[in-house]
Amino acid sequence: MKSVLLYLILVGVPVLGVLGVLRLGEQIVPPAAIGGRWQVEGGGGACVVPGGTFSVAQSGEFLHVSISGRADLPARLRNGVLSAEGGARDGISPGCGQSPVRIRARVGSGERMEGSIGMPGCAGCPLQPFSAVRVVSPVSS
Amino acid sequence: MHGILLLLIQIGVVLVVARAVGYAFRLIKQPQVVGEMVAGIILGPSLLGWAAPGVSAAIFPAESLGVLATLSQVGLLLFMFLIGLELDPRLLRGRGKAAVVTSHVSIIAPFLLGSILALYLYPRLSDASVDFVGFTLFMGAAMSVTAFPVLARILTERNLLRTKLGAVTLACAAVDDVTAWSLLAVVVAIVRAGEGQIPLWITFAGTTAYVAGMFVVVRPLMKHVLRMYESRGHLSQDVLGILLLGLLASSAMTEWLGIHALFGAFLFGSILPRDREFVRDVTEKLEDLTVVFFLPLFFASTGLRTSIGLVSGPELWGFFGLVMLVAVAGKFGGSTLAARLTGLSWREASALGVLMNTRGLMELVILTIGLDIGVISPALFAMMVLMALVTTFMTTPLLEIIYPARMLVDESDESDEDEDAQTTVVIPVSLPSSGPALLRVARALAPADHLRVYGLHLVRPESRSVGEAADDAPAERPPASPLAPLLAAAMGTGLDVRTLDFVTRDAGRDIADVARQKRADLVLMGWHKPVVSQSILGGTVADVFRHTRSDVAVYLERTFRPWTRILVPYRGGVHDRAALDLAGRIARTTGAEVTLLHVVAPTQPAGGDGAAPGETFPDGVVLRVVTASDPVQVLVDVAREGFDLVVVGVSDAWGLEPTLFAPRHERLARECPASMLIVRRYVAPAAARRLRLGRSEVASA
Repeated sequence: MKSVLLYLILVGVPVLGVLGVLRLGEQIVPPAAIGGRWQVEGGGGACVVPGGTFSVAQSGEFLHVSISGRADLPARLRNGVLSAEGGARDGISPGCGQSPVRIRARVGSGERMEGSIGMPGCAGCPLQPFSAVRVVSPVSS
Repeated sequence: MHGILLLLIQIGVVLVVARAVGYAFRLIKQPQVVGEMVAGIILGPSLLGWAAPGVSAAIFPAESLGVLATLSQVGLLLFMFLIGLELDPRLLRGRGKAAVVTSHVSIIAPFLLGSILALYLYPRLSDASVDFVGFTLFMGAAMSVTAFPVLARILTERNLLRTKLGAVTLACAAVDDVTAWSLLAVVVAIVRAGEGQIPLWITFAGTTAYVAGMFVVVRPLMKHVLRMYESRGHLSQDVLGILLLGLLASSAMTEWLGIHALFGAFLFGSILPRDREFVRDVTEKLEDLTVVFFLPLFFASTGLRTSIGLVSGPELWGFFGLVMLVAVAGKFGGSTLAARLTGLSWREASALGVLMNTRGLMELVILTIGLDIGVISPALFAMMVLMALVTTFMTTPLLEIIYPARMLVDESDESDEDEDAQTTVVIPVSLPSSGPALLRVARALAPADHLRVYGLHLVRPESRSVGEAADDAPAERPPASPLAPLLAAAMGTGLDVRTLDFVTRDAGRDIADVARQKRADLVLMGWHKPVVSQSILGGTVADVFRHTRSDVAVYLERTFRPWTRILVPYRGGVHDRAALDLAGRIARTTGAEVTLLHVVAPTQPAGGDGAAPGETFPDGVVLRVVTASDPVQVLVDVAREGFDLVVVGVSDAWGLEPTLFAPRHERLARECPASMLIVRRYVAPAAARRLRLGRSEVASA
């Protein structure tokens, strides 16, 4: 009897705990899935993304934005807003040197983003509005 | 670069680095597999890719990694098949409620904590493409896993397999493995169903039918395969071919069902007949290639996908700290608490907790599946890989602190200690043929009902597989065991002979440990040529002399005739006295006559040289005093006068000192025509100092 009681306490209670966690977790809203390759529409931010595409590596709200191998920016996705800022390698935009690249965009469902992109420290590449659509998700890439 | 050439270079680099790092880790007393896991990380973006990106890109270009990954997956299929094959259902039976409760708690406690951690990490390190239920179940399963193979190897190397702790730990680990894989199958099915690949009901219905088919149809068929094996007496290529085809078919089926090919490999291995020889032969055929060739490729493939750089900044390192805390608290804490509540001592319970906390390779396998199906993100993958490395790395040192080797207690043997046994002899057997001769000496020391003999066989670590390690039942010892001749010689004598065999890294010290635990009166060893020395008293024998706190004797058999005349050379030293004691005991049981040969140097009076004046000897001992400058030559000459056995204490006087590389000192052992028993009496350090002091005082006087 004592063994059964011990078993129920040590095993039964944690099982109920797991079920409780699964119930609680139903309410949690995770960040949108935005990992993959993005195509910039309409030529916005061409001085930063000359090839028109960039890729996002995602671990939840922690992101890395890679622009044609010229910049690899640590980024964050909070409340549906992507914020990225970091130094570019030489040559991303003529005359801008290693001025930091900044991206700030609202991400909707995870398939489209709209915001501004540019190199605020460089007169030749100011922040410009841009929009982009996700063309390849990480699972299928 | 040409595809096949690049692949060959990649494999070569991986194997070299894996062996080198594995060897380095062995030097710091870590399992080789930990080093190989680290080697994988070294070759990936975390180190090689960061320190030498050009070299990394040349050897491991991104577009070539698919081939390496596929090859490593094939290796994993073989590995999981072996894990299933070596899973012994007997481990799960008869371990009592302690094992049942402890094993279940060791799963559910980390599972619960992993689930709670998932509540916190899901909105931070996951995204909307991952279902919360899948994420949570995966985190729970990943936290629950235990590295059964690494654990079995650690238990084997520390001689804990036959203890209650070892038995309960193995049972728990086996239950954990099966449960974790089953849970993971459910997680993979849920995730893939969520992606719309295969409807969940098809996966579950198909899996149920598949598992039932494996047990009801395939398992009986495999008994026919076992009969084929038995009829041929060895594992033929036909039988091996059938097994490999079965492995591939089973893996393909589970992959098609949506629960991953590895489950099929594992299940096929686990339903094969549990015939000891069959399992051993299959394991021997496949294990080396899998462990030496394929597993390093898997570690490299995992390392190439692990970017520790993703864990950057205090926030992410804080998450890693949480992962570590939950992993250790759940597995170590849960297992320890459950083991303590079910009757193990705190020390044993903590040791079990440390062992169960070993994640090792199995964690990497599960994490790789998680990354492949997208249920965990790259940063969380890197954290979990680090956690697997740290928890595996910490096992050996923590165990050494909690359960040091010197506290090793072989409970299975101690539980039935017989206090009435007056003489206990430990016989380490290296050469099987020496067993009967050593038993002959032991039997001559005391009547059978007052004698207990422990036959000891030590195995080097690399010559034993996990499967063998997990099954230590003496009753099922294979006929080829080095202890078999000794046991055969003991049969029908009424002698209490027990056997112990385990893996050792330090034979001399382990023999000494066993002698201490068994309260042995005598460690009796046979002569065999040491590897690095021609000296009879060198190598392991010298180590045993150095470490053993009981008397030690080395037997050299020269003649097989019964002992009727025993010669004991004597100069009064402590080891000479031990030799005389042993000779007296042998004489009492065999009726032999003992002649005591006292050799006196020409410059010394009789009775000098350490022999106490007026010393008395047992009744019936024939005393013979000889004056000579070469005591060894005199002894050899006297031994030729028809003596069957010479019992001699180690002493420089007889040219018998237990020093390495000292063949010139062992002239007596080489030239004596009779069998010899060389005796060393244990003298406690304080007593030895008193003895030396006494001698120097005599000399100065």
